[in-house]
Amino acid sequence: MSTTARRRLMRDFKRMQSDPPAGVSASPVADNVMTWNAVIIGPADTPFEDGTFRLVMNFDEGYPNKAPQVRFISQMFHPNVYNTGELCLDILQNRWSPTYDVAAILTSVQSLLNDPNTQSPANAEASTLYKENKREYHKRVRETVEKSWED
Amino acid sequence: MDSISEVSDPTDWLPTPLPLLAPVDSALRCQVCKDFYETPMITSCSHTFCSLCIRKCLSSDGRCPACREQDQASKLRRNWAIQEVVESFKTARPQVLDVAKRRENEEDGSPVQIKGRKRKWQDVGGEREDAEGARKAARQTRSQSRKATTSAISQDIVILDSEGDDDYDPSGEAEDYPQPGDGLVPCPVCGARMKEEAVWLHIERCDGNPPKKLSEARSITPQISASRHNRPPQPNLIPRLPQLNYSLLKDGALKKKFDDLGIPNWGSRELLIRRHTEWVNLYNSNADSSTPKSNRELLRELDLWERSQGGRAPARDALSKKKDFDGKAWMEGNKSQFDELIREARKKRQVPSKKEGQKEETANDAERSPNMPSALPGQLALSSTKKMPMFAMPSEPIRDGDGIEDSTQ
Repeated sequence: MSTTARRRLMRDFKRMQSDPPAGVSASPVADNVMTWNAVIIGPADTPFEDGTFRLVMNFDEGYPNKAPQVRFISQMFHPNVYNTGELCLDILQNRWSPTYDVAAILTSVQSLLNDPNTQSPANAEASTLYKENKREYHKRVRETVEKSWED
Repeated sequence: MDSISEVSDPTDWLPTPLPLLAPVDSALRCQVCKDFYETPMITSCSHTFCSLCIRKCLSSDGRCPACREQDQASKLRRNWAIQEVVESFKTARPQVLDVAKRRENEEDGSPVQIKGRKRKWQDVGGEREDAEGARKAARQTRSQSRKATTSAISQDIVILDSEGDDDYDPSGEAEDYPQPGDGLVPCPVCGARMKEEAVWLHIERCDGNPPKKLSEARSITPQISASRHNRPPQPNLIPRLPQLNYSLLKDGALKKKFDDLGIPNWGSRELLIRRHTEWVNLYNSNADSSTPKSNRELLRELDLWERSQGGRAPARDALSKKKDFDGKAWMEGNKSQFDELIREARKKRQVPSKKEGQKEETANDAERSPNMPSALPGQLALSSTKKMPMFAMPSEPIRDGDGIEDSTQ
């Protein structure tokens, strides 16, 4: 069944293959173009540097009019990531636009890593440490980075 | 599912000697579906999308997907100019891409030896080190790419021009254009241009007709002009369906409307409203089209919607949304895919030339997060020690204090 969503996801896939943004990658799982696995490498010069963070993206037939559901499956320590790995990111919720594609989503998540929004914390502890104790925050983040290498 | 090799994409141009066509290709595509515009419509805020794409966006949140300005479907207007450009580009694309790819194969990494045109060719980006720059150019904004379009076109001409190499003889047509300072001379009989020493040999067998060499290139021109004159986009006379104010309609009246429209009227009220919205979008975008489909075809599309998003859609299994989703098990089950993805994501970070790599990184960072919070002193110190090559997965988890001297230089 070739629906709008599936055709668009094939395009997103082609784009991710032929010209991926730096430090991210993603591809659909073997038997289902509606579910993707993705990796974000922690950006240089941030506490997340060199982490290999894994994500799962779930699209439905409403895509791209509806945002996919994106979640980290690597353990994260970040003000805008819940313990479950789910993200609190405006462009995946009320600021979603059908012009976004997989590449755009992943670069947004990538830049969110070092640019958290402490107005809407999903992880209160991470948010407090980020604001009040950078050194400890940094240490906790590095723990998740090191853990991500072992996953 | 469509095969990925059948999907055309602006990035198709990047590995060819014509990477500057990537922004042209991209500018002719709808930002929503990423395919070439189909029945392009312009919004009140002057953004252009496929008719069906923008109608779906407006019916779901009433805003332009590009700038979030509020708009209404009734204010959409056709964009014939873009439609003509798209149609002619789509026709030309396979041929140009084919020529570009062949040229790339012939070139095989060595500088192209075309007399009198070598310099221009190199400007096109034939040198490998230009590839990165070209890719950046491909990401330029559309207004920037307008400049690129101009130069890409002139480069295109250069390449067609050079097809025939030394024996190349532009025919009589060339007389209409300023003659290039290529050191060639025209045959006094047929007007074809060639090397001076070749003229005498040529005159002996010249029958006064221009040589056939150009026939391939020439055959394109009539097609384009034909498509322009024979098939200008025409408005059709299908009236648009009005939006309904659902809250004013009781279930019975609503179902009656469905009968009048000839679409299925089963299901809950919520489903009926979604189905009607979909039908209005399908119907009205078809009415926008210069080549409308039959009603039967539209009903088939509504049925596809019914089976994918409507009342017959399979129950959703957004597995990772489930509360009991086991990320760890998923990670293990997909280990080989994740390992491959990590390799890919790292590959893109290593740029061959160190200087260029750093340049690109800063450019990207600026683009992504202009308001990056300033790092604390501790962070800065630590991150500077981290400036190590990304080539390999770190074998030791703790790398603090590694190569400070090397990296900070």
